[in-house]
Amino acid sequence: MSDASRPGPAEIAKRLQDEFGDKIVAVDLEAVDPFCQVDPMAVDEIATFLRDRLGFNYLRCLSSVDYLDKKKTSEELGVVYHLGAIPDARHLFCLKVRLPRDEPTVKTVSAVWPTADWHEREAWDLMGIVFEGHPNLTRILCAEDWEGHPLRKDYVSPDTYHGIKNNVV
Amino acid sequence: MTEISTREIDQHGDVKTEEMLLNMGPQHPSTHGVFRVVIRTDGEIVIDAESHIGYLHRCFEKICENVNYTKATPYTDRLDYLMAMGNNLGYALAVEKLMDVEVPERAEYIRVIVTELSRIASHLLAIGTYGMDIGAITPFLYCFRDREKILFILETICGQRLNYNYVRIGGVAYDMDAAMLTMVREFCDYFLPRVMEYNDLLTYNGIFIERTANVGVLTPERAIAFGCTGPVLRGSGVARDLRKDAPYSVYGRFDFEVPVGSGEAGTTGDCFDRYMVRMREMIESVKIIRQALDQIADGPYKTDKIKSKPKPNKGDAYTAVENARGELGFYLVSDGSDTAFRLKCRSPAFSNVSVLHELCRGAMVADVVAIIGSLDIVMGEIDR
Repeated sequence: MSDASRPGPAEIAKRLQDEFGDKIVAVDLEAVDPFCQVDPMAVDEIATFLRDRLGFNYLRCLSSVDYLDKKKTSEELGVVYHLGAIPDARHLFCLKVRLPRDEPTVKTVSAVWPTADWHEREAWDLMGIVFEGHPNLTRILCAEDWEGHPLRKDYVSPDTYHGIKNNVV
Repeated sequence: MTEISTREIDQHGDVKTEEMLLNMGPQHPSTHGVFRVVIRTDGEIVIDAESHIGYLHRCFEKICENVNYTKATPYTDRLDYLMAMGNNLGYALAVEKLMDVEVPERAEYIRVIVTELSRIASHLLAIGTYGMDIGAITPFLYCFRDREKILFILETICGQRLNYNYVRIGGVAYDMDAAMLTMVREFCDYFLPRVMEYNDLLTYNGIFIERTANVGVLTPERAIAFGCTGPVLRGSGVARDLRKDAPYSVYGRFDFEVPVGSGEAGTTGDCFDRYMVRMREMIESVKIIRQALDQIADGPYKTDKIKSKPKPNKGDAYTAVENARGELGFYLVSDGSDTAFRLKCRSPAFSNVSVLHELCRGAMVADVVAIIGSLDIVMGEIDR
């Protein structure tokens, strides 16, 4: 895709708003990576639209974030999707969802981009985000019987694991 | 004799074959680390394969939330420990993206030189061990002979052989003097004819071609869907290289090709194509190094605007570089302090190995080793 024919972030955001209305919660085009914050329960249909109609055939990165800071201004969790296209490396966009801490559930996009399968398992494993509709949402990096989700800001690591001492200084 | 046995099976009609579960790893010479694959086989044919990772997990991302930006650099070395320079560079660029800082040109050139040297070293190891996986021991020794020369140069530059901690936020740790630049130039002259030697030893060896051609074919559509990047994607014929398509650092100033697989020995996207892309990329890396050596000018090797504890602006950004295994990305969320609020590492080998089960389906058991080797996995960055 040439520079002229490639839709810019503003146009992508407008296409999404026209198509999905209030499922697009917020738009920020001034950020370093311009993004749309969307409804967690609609992320799969929005992803399909972005893939099929706007050419985002490649999910570059799926990150989970815990927004709980020291001042407790936010207690939410989040998932950030960095989309790209192959071979057009400059065709970029970003989706974000915010999830309540007590019930962090978001629709899976593993059917849209198969690479999301493992990335979502990682987000579940380390951050405890539930991906509704995921075919095999099990731990991937931590041991199967590990307790808790280590990347949460309020995570406390266990003192022992199968008799192995931890937290020893 | 044959006739009788055939008749016996026909008469009984109940000769059953059972599927067998075969566990490969976590300690297996061909997995290059601790990686486990459970293979479901029907005789010699693989029906399905399931990868189990995480044996080296140390929660790198959590560590980075507990140490400041400068202290986190050595931890990035241990991600893809075969191309630590590339990890340092990706991380430094990610932090710099959220800072108002200009990196001196000389530093950018030094970064390119050491990263490309590192890429050659990484590909040499990939090629050498790949030959060994398949049964050719000798090329491994030749590859390590030349890899050693690169490690020696890098050791001269920064004092380390594997985990360099050399590319820092705002520049590099030490300057390269004229003698070091000469060493690199001499290495380039020495190295190019060696590629012919590897080709004679391994690439055009009939047995090697038989073992790799038409094995583990990955179509470009599936490669993109599974987020494969680097030589794995380019082996499938897709010319995607961030150094070319979205140049970072000073890569935009160099003239080089992006080798892609074309199915020259069998089908496009087979193990041979992935191997061959790495082989040709080494020649392109030498081209880049030579141009960088010609263009590098005197000047400072780091910016003096960054203190020992850099504080990026509040915000978040995703930065990606082309590492030896593909797109290495860092998603950094900064709250304006001297420690990352969240740092997610998108490791190329993690996505590349997630396609393994598709490549293994229908393959012979002996080919699983050839397929794993062609993906060139490094467990340090898969498990993080």
